Parts: sequence; structure tokens; C-alpha cells
Amino acid sequence: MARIEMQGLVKTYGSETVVDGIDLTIDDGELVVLLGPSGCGKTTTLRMVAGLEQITGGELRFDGEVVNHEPPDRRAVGMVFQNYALYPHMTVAGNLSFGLQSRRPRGSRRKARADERRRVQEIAELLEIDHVLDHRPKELSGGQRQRVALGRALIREPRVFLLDEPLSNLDASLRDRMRMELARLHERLPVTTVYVTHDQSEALTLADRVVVMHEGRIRQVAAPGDVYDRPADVFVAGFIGSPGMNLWPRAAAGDGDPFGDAAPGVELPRDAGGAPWSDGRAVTVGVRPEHLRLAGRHQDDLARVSCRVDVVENLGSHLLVHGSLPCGGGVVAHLQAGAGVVRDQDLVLGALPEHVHVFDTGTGERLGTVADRERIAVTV
Amino acid sequence: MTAITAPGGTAVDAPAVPGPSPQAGPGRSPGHRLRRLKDRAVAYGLLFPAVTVFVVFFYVPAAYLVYISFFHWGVLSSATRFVGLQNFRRLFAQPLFWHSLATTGYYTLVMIPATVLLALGIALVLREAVTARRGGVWRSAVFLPHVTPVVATSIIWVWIFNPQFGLANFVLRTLHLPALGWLGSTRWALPAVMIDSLWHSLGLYVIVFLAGLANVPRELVEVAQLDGARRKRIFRRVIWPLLSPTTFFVVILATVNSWQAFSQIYAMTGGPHGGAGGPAFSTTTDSLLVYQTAFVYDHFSLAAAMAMVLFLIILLLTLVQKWISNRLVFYR
Repeated sequence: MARIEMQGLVKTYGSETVVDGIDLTIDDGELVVLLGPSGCGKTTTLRMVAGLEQITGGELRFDGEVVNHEPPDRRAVGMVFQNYALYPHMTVAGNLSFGLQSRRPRGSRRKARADERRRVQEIAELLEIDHVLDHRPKELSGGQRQRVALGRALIREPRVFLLDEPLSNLDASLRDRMRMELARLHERLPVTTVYVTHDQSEALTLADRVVVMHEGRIRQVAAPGDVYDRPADVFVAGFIGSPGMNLWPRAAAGDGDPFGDAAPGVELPRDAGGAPWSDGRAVTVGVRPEHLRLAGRHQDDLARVSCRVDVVENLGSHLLVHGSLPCGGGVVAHLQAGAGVVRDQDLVLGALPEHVHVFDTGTGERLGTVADRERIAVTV
Repeated sequence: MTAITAPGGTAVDAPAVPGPSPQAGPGRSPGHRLRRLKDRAVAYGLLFPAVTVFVVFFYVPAAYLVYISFFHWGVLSSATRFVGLQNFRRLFAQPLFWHSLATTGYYTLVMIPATVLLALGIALVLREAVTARRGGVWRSAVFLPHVTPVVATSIIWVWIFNPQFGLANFVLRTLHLPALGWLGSTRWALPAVMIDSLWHSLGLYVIVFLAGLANVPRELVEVAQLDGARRKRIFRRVIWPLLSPTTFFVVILATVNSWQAFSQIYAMTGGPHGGAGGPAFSTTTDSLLVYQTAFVYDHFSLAAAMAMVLFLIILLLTLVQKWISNRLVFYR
């Protein structure tokens, strides 16, 4: 196991910067998920850690030792690729033992072979693929292939375990099962793990810490709950959650009118005045769809959103209501099934002050919630 | 899609429900049968021109070749008569026939490994060492000889192999090696032809190998690197097995081309060096012998018998290669 330190990690292809100064420390045995949309640089970062991409700038250290120029085989990393990358012409046993054979010590071949066979058997039993050891990859199911890829990465007891969207090729039900199995496997073998995904449910359920990336930069590093409850900026707020947070930009506010009036239809609790963002800066207000509920027009203790319903999606357990605001913006709300909402209905939705996030429109940074404005007044 | 009527009376499209159609089964309607007949007529009509050309110019001559191999037959002769296996007996009694077979076998046995090794080597170098920007230029440069006419380039090679003024001997002399007689020597004439053939055909095989290499997933090589395998082991255990279908294809092509080698031998060994196939029959391959027997000596029946034997040899070789491929070639 190893502690990974990335300091100002940069990757450029010609004039294009794909990873733009990543600073991140991953502790021994920690499972960190790199999460972000396609093209955000998460896979490139993982490949730099693996040694499959040259590092353009910055330093990468394993246990304090700079490994920028170490070839992949010297870094002792195990990696699972998105498409598993199993050797199609070898059996499962051949796939598992390939790495061991490549590092077979000189002399005592018989003993080395016996050790390899024992190790293959152990890892196959751990991953419950011992009954398919003589099968070729094309004879296996998606889940079995995934286990073989995991086994091949784990068999050499790597210091660092890297997973590049390992569940994205599986169907939904198998993906859920394998996600749980991966979590269990990490508990049993607590190897330092970097896991890349664009699926936030994987990130939030598996990670000790989530690293949200966008355009080659880290936007937030936090525990899964914090990424959801306290998104660092507008991008994280919109990216995390399904659907993401409703965001309504408001014009620069004057004294006594902290949120301006650029988004008519969104009213904040009456006692929100005097907040630190009333200094004239433009802010963006955000509420998660699941924090919105049906409200009365005069419930002053709630942030209220008046909208007209455009689409109602019945998802069985709840309704997903898409509405439009008088100002032209949109709103999405999770409402209870059987809420009796229909298309073209005028609705007033409300959210508790602690669920109303406020962001600086200029920088995108989160300032706090309407409820904790006093705390913000101290820190901002 | 099936048309159904909406409550308002308008016909709308609805997805067809899977399941047996009302017309399926033995009791199909006459309309359905007529439609099927019409479809078949169109299909056969479209196939007809291509099939006709193929039958007239390939199967009929091939069948006629088999026919005349059992007859005494000449282009202008009217005295065609059945001679049974006499043509074959005459053929097997000719030392030159066996010599041409041995020459062709030698030519093929050298050409196949040389083709595979050189083409694969060049393809690997092109893939590894040449940047994507210049890759197109290099690929074109390698492929260019293949699109030039064999006869034209063979004449250039005749100059290169000229014992007095040729580039080949100039290079040998520069390297302090003895000059060779090349096309005038019974020992070196066939190797000279092989060099020309390799130069001419390699471009195609390099492109085929490049395509094969492009189909080897990059991740497999990366996984092998992470697994600690060195370059040699990655090639031997990962790339080479995945290239086996490409290699098999190249071997088949090279075999057929070697057994059919004609133009370059005819162009390089004819003229000032005596009749084609010389000196002293050292470059007389079976294709050349068939040509000479039929069109120079006017023994069409004997040439037909020879072609029959060659056909059987190539068929046998192909079957052997197929048998080997079933064991060694890995298809994903």
C-alpha cells in the first residue's frame, strides 16, 4: 500500500491542457473516487498515476518517493480498464498468471510455477471465478470478466489499485451488485485505490473521499455527504444529484434586498435581509429538487418558487416535476407520488432556508445557505 | 409499423406486435407467394451479369482445361482425340517438370518467411517510430512499389543486377564483398528475382500488417506493461497471437503469389540472358513452364495436364494451411 501525493500535476497534448495543476494527497488504504463529466481529465490523471501517460508538469510521489519517470511495471500498480482488457487468446488462469510469469524470478522454475498456481487459485476463490479458470474471456459473462480483470490487477498485490470506470460496461442490476462487491473487496483488501467514474451513485456509495473534476481541475475534494450537502461551487452543485441542483442567478442586490429581483418567481424567506451578500455582489440561489415541496403562497418561512408545470414524470416512488418560472428559467422538483400535480398547473414550491444555497455568481463559489448566513458573515 | 385508427378516426402508425403473422405458415396467400417470386426474380436478375461473366471466363475455361488434359489437342488442329492419362505420364517423365516444381517450391519456401518477417518488421517500425503526421508519407512510400507495373520495375532491377555497371555489385564492392553474376548466374538468378518480387510485393503486406496491428487494442499492451512484461514478451505473448489471423492471410497470399510468379521472371530473365527461365532453367518456375509449353512449344494438352497438377498442389497446400490455421490462428 502507498500514500499518493500529486503536486501541481499537469498534462498537456500540444497546446491543449488536459490536466491543469492537480494537488491531491491520497492516504494509505484510502478509496478516492475521481468524479466528473467526460473530458474533465480524470482518466488522464489515473493514467499518469499508472505511468501510462508522461507527466508534463508537477510531481507524483508514492510514499514520498518521486515516481514521475518510473515505468508502469516499477510502480507496482494494478489497473482495471473500462473494457477489462482481458487477453482474449488466454484462459482465465492465463490472464491471472500473466503478471506473475512476467516477474518470475530466475532459477527454481518448478517452485515458481507451483506458487503461481496456488496464487491463481487463491485469487480465483476470493473472486468466485475458480470454476471458470480454463475458460476464455469470450465464454464469460460481463460480471465474470469484470472479476477476472479485478483478479489480474490484485494478484500481484499492488501498492496502488486503479480502476477506470470498471462498472460502465455492465447492465444496471449487475452494476449495483458489483458496486457492493467492490466495496466489500476494499474492506477485505484495503489497498490504496483510485477509482474513476462519471457515475455519481458509484462515487457517493464507494468513496472515502470524492474528488470532483471539471476542465482539468479539481473543483472539490470532500466526503461523499459533504459533496452533496455543501457543494463547493455552482459546477459541483449542478453536477452532483440527479437531476442536479436548481440554480437561479439573481442580479446585484441593493441594501435591504439581498437577492435582487432578476429572477421573479423565486422569493426568499423574509428574514434573509442583512446577509453578507447584500454588499452588492450578484449571487446565484440553488435548491436541490428533492428539497422542494408543495407550499402555500404565504409561507414566509420558506423560500418559495412560483412556477407553471410543463412535464410530470411519474417514476413510481415519486414524481419528477419540471416547471417554468415567470422569468423564463426552469425548476425541477421531486414530489411525493400522488401529489396530484398536472401539466399547466400553477404551483408554489417551497424549501427550508437550510436547503437554500447561495453562490457568488462571479466566482461560482458557494457562500452558504440562507439559514447559516450569520456564520457566513464571519467567514466571508 | 401497422396502421390503426385513432378515436378521432385518423389513421396513425403503431408499432407492429411481434408474433405470428396471420399469413404465416403453410396457408400463405397467393399475393404473398407472388411477392416472394417477384423478389427472387429481382435478386437473380441482379446476380445474372456477374455470375455470367464468372462462369464464361472462369468455370468454362477451367472445365475445358480439365477436358483437354485428357485429349490430344491443338489450337489449330482438328485431330482432337482422347488419350486418357497419356499427357500426365509424359509430364511426370519430364525432368524439367520436376525441376520447375523444385524451383517453385524453393522460391515459395524463401518468399513466405522473408515476406512475413520483413513486412511485419517494417510495419512494427512504421507504427512505433513514425509520428502520426509523417505516417501517411511513409506508408505511401512503402506501398508505392506495389502499384507500379511489374514489368517496368523488373527492367530497372535488371539494370541494378547488371554484373558490370549495376548498383547491386557496386554496393557489394563498396563493402569489399565479391561481385556476383546475378541474372547471368544459375545460382544467383533466382535470388535476384526474389529480391525484385519482395520489393514489389512488400508494400501490400506491410499495409495488411499495419491494419492488423491497429486492431490490437492498446489497452492489452498497456495491461501487459503494468504486468511487468518486457517488449519481447509483450510481442510474443500478446501482439503476435492477436496478429495470427493477419499473418495467416499474408501467408496464404504470399503462397498463391509465389506459385503464380511469372511476370517478373519473364521480364528479368528473358532478352539478353537467353529464353525466359534461364540461365539453364534455374528460374523456370511451374507457371513459366506452363506458359512456355502451351504458347512457345504449342503443347496445349501437356500444359493443361501441368496446370491440373499445379491446381491439385495449390489445393493441397491450402488445405494444409487451413488445418494448421485451425490449430494456431486465434480469431477474436
